[in-house]
Amino acid sequence: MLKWKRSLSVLAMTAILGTLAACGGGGNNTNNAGAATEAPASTNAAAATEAPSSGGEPVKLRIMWWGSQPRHEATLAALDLYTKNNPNVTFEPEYSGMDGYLDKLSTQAAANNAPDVVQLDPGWMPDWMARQQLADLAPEVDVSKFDTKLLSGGQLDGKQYAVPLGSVAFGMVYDKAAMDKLGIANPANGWTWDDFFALAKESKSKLPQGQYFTLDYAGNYFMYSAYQYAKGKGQVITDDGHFNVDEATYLDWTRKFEELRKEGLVPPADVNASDKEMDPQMDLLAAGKVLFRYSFSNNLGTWDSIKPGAYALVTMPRAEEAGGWLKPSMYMAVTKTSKHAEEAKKFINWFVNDPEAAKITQTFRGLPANKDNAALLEANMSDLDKVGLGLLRATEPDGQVWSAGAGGWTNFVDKDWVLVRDQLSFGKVTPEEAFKQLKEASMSYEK
Amino acid sequence: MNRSTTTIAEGAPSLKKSSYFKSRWNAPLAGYLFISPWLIGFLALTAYPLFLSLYYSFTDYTLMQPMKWIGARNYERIFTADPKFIQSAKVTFTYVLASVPLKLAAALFVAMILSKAVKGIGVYRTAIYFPSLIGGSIGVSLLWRNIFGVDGVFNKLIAVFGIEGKSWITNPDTALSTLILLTVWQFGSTMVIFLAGLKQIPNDLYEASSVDGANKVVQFFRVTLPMLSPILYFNLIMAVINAFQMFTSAFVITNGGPMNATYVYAMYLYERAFSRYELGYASALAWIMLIAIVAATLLISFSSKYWVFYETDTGGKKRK
Repeated sequence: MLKWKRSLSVLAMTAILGTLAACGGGGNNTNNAGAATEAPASTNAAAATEAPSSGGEPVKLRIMWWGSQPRHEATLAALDLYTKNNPNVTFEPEYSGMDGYLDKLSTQAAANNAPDVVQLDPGWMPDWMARQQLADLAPEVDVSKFDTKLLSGGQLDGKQYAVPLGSVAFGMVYDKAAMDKLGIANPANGWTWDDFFALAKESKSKLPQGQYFTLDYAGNYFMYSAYQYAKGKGQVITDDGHFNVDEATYLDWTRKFEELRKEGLVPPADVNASDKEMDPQMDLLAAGKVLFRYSFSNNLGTWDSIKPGAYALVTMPRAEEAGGWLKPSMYMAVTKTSKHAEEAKKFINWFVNDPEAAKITQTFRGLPANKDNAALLEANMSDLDKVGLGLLRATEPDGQVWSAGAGGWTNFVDKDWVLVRDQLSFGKVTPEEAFKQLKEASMSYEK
Repeated sequence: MNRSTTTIAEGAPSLKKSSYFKSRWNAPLAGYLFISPWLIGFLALTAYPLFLSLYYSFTDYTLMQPMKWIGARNYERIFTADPKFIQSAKVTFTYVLASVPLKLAAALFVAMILSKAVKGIGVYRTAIYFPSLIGGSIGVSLLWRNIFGVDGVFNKLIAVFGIEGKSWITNPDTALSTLILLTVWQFGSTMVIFLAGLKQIPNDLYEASSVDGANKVVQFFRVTLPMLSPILYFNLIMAVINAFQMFTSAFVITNGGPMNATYVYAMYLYERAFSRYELGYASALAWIMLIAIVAATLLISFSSKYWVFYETDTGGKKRK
């Protein structure tokens, strides 16, 4: 009854929105059509020999993730293998880039039409668990081989709602090829923020027109977080949901970038705003316009595929404390509304624990969080993956402790912070005003 | 479906028995049955959700929790303590005021060119109408993003004339203008309606006026525009309604940015509903938009008696 009402409420919304209704409806139709044609194919599933799923009832699981092309291909291959082992289970994959992913997923979830299996960013976990949109994964999913630090982000009230897929380190990627050509020194792991800004100044005379040292990170949430951590001032948003930006540190950071902006070491605001990470055409690093940008250890492959052999990784600069941290790359979960929750959980268990699955999915979601699988992959890693592993190992010893943070702040990070960022980079507000705006915006999120 | 056909069949004999029922009930009933597919669709998919959303707009409804009746507090919050409402409403009004006249002017201009009998006119018409077919799609929005980006075609084009371009889409001063340009470019269906209207204007009016010494410009203002005013009226209302609901390009091309310069009302509504799950609040926003659209439509329709002429008005009554 309640479900019925909810569906209607969403219908009401879409009817008003009109244009949106067309998008959502179109998607559903294709899904249904797909299900109808595929269903009869797997009726003789019971004949399969070692199918762990006893019933053999044909099941179609919808699964959704974001990523780059290599990740898509690896994931699709893994799904194929699973279907081969369990002929009664087929998949309806929905995959895309990161752009718009959360919007699409949220809309589907609001319409009680979310896929059975979803990939979630660690930052979203508190919200999704608090809203009770995920199913408890115990006991089907075995998490005994996982690092408890990575597991905790998917837990609420002692229940495991999501499993981490991998572990990644937050650091920086730089255009080694370009820097060598321009005669700019390469950074070394363990460098400091002072080194970073000094290197920027040093590069000034060497950079040609239209090329910049780094992106304008004055208003970037993640980079500022790394800076505040390095200065020993802790999380930007505390675990109990409080705005914890250290005013002095924030002003220090934004003023330093203001200086870089004046000296032409970061791109002008409109160019900076056109950057789209990992988009072959719009990524400013890939376009050769900037030398540095932040990166996770598992993302090197994407840039490398754009310009092979050009890029290298380095730890996030530090100060009194380390600037970088290790974090779960992403989580996988079963949505509460899934009609095949049991099968979905069995699949996840296979996806995160089975060595065969690990061999296929490689490190496209970071080094596997399952320790056995991580060891298995480390033994025969590609050179590119070894670079990523290098950053991971360099960050490990004294890296910051990652936290999923407090629930309910997703929009603050995605929308409010971004607005202030734009105003800063277009020079419409001073660092002081920017701080005041952030503080004011945070009020409506504090509990 | 089956049930309704049997009802018609059973109803048929009674037609003869009682003329009272025939006139008072049965004949309309048959009519209602014939339109029932539409009627059911309207009631279930439009009317019911519409009023349900009105109800929701008076509740605190976050989808995951049971809803709570809070009276007019959503509206109170919107009008007194919501800077994003003001910002997005401003952007939308700017967009409507700028895009609608431009679009209508472009459509009328092109329609007048295309109404001339030229060899191969069908090809031209198709070519010009074509953007409207694909206009609302995500693909065109992505294309637009590339055309007006830093390294986009547009900048390369003006570079030929020695003008240094910028990233039009990621600049708060020009972002909305690029989106308006995209709308104006999609004037096809408006243009087709104008074209039909232009064809309806009797040629003797032009002949007569030219005998009286009117030149092309005078003809346009004294003959074409008045004769076209009912069409203009229709197109104006449709364009205004569409402009209020603008969403796709702002969402895809600029995502509301930079600096909220393209943060249109529908995007704000969407964000409240589908990323914050505040359906009660979003419903209230939706109703405010509905009221704004109705108000704009009424305003246009009241003003219409001063500038819309029907042949019966001008040719008949008024002269007498």
